[in-house]
Amino acid sequence: MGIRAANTAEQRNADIVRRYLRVFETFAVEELAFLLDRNVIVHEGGTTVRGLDWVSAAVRTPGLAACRIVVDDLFAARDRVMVACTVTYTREGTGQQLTLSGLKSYRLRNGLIVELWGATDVFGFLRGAGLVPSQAWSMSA
Amino acid sequence: MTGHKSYRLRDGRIVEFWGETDVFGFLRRAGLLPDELPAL
Repeated sequence: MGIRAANTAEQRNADIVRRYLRVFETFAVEELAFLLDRNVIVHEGGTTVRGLDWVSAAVRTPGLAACRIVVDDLFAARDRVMVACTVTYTREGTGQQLTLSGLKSYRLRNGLIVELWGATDVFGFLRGAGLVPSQAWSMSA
Repeated sequence: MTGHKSYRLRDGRIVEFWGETDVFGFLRRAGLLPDELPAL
């Protein structure tokens, strides 16, 4: 796992992002107000939304009981932090473990995340959960 | 299709990269996935 931050300010930004990711594990959404700007801009899945409330609502996904995040790579430079991560969810009822890989980048100002970009392997996740046909599409098609 | 990529370089060459693209959104727009999915 690569963790790289060149100076104290960048290390501080990296720590803020780590605390932010922890909220998805603990469901402690009250922490978000100390980590995100209230008008945070979120770019994900081809759409852009704005606001702390949107992030708060995204912390819990119906049907998933628990979430664990492993940071595979983290790079902090200037006002940005880049994270590659693997998220493991536990499915309610069955206890099935489902993994979701993701890449995120964050822009911070004055100790708060003000903008973030993200992409996750939703298709792979849904295939693992058996919610989309496994033969729907492949790289060789 | 939107994407997010991260590259690590050494001596002027990319030596490692990570990538994610919105395959799910792409397939939905192409009509290759159902509009509604079963609940988790």
